[in-house]
Amino acid sequence: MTDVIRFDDVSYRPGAGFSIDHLSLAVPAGAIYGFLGPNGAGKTTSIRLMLGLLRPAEGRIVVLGESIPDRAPQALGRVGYVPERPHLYPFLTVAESLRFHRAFHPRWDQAWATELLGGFGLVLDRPLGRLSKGEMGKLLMLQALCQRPELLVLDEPTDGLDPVVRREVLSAVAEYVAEYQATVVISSHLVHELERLCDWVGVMDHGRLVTQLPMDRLKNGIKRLRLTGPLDRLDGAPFSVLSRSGQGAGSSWVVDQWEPAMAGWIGERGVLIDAVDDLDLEDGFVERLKARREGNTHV
Amino acid sequence: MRLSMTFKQPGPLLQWLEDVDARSPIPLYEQIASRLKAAVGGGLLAEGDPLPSVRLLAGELRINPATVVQAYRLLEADGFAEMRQGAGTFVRSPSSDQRQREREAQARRLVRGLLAEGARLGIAAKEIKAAWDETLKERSR
Amino acid sequence: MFKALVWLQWKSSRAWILAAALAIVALPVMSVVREWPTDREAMAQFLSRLEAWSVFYPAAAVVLGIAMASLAWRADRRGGFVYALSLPIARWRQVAYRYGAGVVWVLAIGAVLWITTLVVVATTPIPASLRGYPTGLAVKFALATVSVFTLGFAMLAVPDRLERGLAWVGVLVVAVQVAALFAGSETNWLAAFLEAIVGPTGPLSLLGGRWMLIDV
Repeated sequence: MTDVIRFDDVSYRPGAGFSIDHLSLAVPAGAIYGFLGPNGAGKTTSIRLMLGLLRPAEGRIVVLGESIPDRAPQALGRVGYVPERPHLYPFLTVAESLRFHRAFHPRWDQAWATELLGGFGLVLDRPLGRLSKGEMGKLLMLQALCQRPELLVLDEPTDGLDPVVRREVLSAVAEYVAEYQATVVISSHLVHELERLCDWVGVMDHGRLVTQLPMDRLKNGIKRLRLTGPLDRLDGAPFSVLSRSGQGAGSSWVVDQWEPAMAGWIGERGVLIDAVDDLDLEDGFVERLKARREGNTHV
Repeated sequence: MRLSMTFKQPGPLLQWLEDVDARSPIPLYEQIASRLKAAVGGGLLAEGDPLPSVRLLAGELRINPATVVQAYRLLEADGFAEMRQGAGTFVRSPSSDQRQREREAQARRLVRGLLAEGARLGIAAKEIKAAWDETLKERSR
Repeated sequence: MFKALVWLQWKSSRAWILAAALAIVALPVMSVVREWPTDREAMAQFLSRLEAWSVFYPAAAVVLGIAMASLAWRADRRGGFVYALSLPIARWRQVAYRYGAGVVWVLAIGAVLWITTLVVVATTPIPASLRGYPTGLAVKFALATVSVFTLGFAMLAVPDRLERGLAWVGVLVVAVQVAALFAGSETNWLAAFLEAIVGPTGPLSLLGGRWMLIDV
């Protein structure tokens, strides 16, 4: 089994204007998979489908070799989940919440829980209803990690946290992966936060998958070309064009699937390349979304 | 040297590595490797010193553990480190030959960075070369 | 896991459980009589007076059953059931365990009532014409509470606000009736209302009938 998560042509329609349409995903074992997309793109819904919290209208979902949602309880024992919004019982204290959670997770790592409690600065006898947002975020992460999951599913785990807490939370994830070679799915609308952590990226928009690539290919494939001279006919171009600005001399093109050897193809058409600029993940992400929304992936 | 554990104050080596830039076109593992090489060159790390564990470094820098492993492999290939099964990765003093090659590689990296920065600003390599020669001439005067 | 859910039910509803236990101890103790009348006519009046008090047993069963049912899921409902659903346990099993956890506490309170009534009956000189029914009353109370709890547990879909409103109305009704009885009023519309739902044709007939600890 090489894919820890597989979605095959999954659709989900709760009604009211939003739907997940023909979503196919594959998260390889050992990947740290960044699940990107603007708010409302369908990331949380996809994650809930992944965990069997929702039942798809069509398609097949397999997580850790278990068919979802029918065998979700079996899969969930091996999945650590941090939801988008805190969902723990507010009338319990930190210690009580851990005790309750532990009862369902036989592989619970108490030694690490104790270490993380100290490191995160969580007070054991404080009721959850009185935790700050940051403390709640840390507790959720602690609970997910200490059940020693093979798969971590983190839905906006740092949303609304201050930078210090955000670092602590992401550090704990990186350490966990180093120690246990777990697979991680981490959704965020803060693209740049995931840039250094993830090695796979899936981008969603309007309930559909825009792209799914290893991080280095996503980052290296997108370039901004600055060209002098008219490049009008693009039939047979080895790259795809996401956008262009400027006409005639001095135009700027954002292209995808770029490789250095492709400069020759442009040169043959009598056009000079002034510069080939790298785009960071965020710019690349924005360009892809724009191209997708305007429907001009292949101009 | 002492390395910090998670939740304690980062040691000087980790501070030195902290500002790796994921947005840079230079891959993270290369940035880490070249910083560690510089740390060896600068005496922050001596022969036989252990490098931070993959877990520690990945945690501190919040990067993918695979990236750390890749950086350490690169260091090993360049003769700056030795990965011992089960024990960790340790600093090796490179031979003078390797040191020289590394200096050359470092110099090429600097120039590449300069050219890339120039391209961003729309300054052609030719112009940079001219400015370069000009500056060198001024300095030697 | 069942233990954890029993404990969770305690954590979420301990105030109600303790209040119910207190009430259930107080009711038989307060309604018991030290000096009984000797002539038959006075005795009959006396018994009807006792019967007026006995309406609080089914009332307590209703309040406790509803409270336990609503508290069994309240926190989950607020979080959209996300936590409950993300636990590695089959849905039917979790529902069964949670139901069982509520029943455990209801039975515990039934046991408290049973012990109290046994003690009360044993320590009270009862006239020869009357008998104590400690076990019957406790079993009836436990079964009635479980029935209400079951009904409430099944009707989880009631929105939070509506549920809170209904709970307040219930508390108000009981308070008014208590005041009326203390003022010596003969009207007992709480009993009339209960009769409508729990009478032989009502949905909870178990709550109807006589709830007398000491009766002919």
